Amino acid sequence: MFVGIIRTIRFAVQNFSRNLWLSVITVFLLVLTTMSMTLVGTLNIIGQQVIHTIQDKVSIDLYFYDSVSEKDIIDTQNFLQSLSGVADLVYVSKDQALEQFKEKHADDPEILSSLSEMEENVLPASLTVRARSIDDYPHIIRAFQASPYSEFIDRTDYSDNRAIINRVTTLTHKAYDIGLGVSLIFIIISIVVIFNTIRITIYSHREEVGIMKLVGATNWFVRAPFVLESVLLAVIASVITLSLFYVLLYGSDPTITAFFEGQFSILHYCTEHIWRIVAIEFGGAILLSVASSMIAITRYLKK
Amino acid sequence: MITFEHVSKLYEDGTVAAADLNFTIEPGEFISIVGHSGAGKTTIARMIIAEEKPSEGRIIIGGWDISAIKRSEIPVLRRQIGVVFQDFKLLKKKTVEENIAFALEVCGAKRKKIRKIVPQLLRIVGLEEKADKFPNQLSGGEQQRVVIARALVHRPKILVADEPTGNLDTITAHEITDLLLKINQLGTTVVLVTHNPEIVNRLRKRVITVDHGAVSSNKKTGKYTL
Ligand SMILES: Nc1ncnc2c1ncn2[C@@H]1O[C@H](COP(=O)(O)OP(=O)(O)OP(=O)(O)O)[C@@H](O)[C@H]1O
Ligand SMILES: [Mg+2]
Repeated sequence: MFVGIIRTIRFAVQNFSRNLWLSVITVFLLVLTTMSMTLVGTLNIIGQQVIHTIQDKVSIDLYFYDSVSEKDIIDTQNFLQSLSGVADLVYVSKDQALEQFKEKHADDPEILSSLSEMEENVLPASLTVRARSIDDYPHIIRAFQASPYSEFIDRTDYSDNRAIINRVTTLTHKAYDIGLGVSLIFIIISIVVIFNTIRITIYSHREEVGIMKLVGATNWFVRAPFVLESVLLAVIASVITLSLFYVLLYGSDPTITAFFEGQFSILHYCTEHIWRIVAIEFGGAILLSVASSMIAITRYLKK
Repeated sequence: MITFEHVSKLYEDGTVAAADLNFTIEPGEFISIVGHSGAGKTTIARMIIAEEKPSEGRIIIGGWDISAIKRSEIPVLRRQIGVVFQDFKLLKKKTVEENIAFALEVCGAKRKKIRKIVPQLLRIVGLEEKADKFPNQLSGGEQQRVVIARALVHRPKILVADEPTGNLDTITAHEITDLLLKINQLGTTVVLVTHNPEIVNRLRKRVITVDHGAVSSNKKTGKYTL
């Protein structure tokens, strides 16, 4: 068996170099295909990340009247806590609000001095409500407004990023669909090209194949060299795609990381999932390649 | 033993290449199948190696009914039957030795086995000296010897030779038939398909004459009478 494998590999390598141009074109197309699929995948990850980031920024800020007592605030807090969909609540007291304000404007002496001129703390106490999912906000707001606690609230800030989220979602979906369509076209072209490449290889080896069949080589032995050649094409293509992809990642990572304000690095993400990416890349290319070569061989052997 | 029982062959285009063939070939026998061009000789040879399936009837080889053979079983059969066909040429880019070795390699033979068998076969066909030559450096007769050697790689019980002397001059043709006789004496059943009367008459072995897909005569030490 082992001898067989070495012979088969030699055969595959020989074929590759014998039909060099054909091999190069086939590899090129496979690279295009796997690259477009990889980019679609990456785009999807980035899109999800964008939505995630925006979702994280959504919250409801409830500002209390200065007259509201500590107990009422705690009651409000308890009520909100009891609502389904509420993930967490952050309470900022009047004093804390002042501290935060001072900190924020530490470099601005004018604001600070005008603040110190004021006799009392004008900043309100507030409660920041964060929902588990973006879709929970409407009913949280409704439930709260229907409750008696809404009386305590002077002003509500609902940073509704819904419109942006919807836009991002539509955009990523559209990009994903287009990418998928392009990939599909490449997949079909690849299948056709690999199919033909292997058919040409078989044709240029038709005498060998004929002899193999007549001397009693098993079907698998006849197939193996051609399948292995398609695997070789796929492996070469995957290596090229992965290298290109990483070059692309290195190039674009600073921009993407800056976009996410340092919260997300695509390079970091891909490095973390490197084995999965390698497996998908190689697996996909090999699957595609082997499937089309098998069709070519089976069709030839049936004749 | 090869048995043809009511074997008919109808090609897809409607050509009747075999019509109710009935005959038996004993183990160790040397049999010639003769007949006009288009009589159906090659069709018989191809049915023996399961390259064509009979449309009707049964072909039994060594107790194995190969008329309904599965695709996956064909290699098993082929390893028991050596074939010398007209369109079954040598690989031009391989030497004599490599051509013979190739037939073993593609069946997964170990290198050690190949190194042992190939020289033996070269000796049987008398080509030890030409092991490193390429096919185009050999005469027609020598090439045919290589083809015969290749057919013997699995030490088959049966050797089917379709027109092995086709393009050869009389003397060379005789040499090839003598080689087939020698192989037969070593214990292999030989089925020789030919339309050369001179060869058949010289052999003095059993002859099956086919005419329009049917056996028209089946004689012990037959003569080629058409
Ligand atoms: N694959 C095929 N499809 C259709 N008809 C075929 C096929 N092969 C052979 N035939 C026909 O079957 C008949 C028998 O052919 P076969 O090759 O067996 O003859 P043969 O006796 O070997 O002739 P020759 O001496 O010329 O080699 C012929 O009429 C031939 O045209
Ligand atoms: Mg013929």
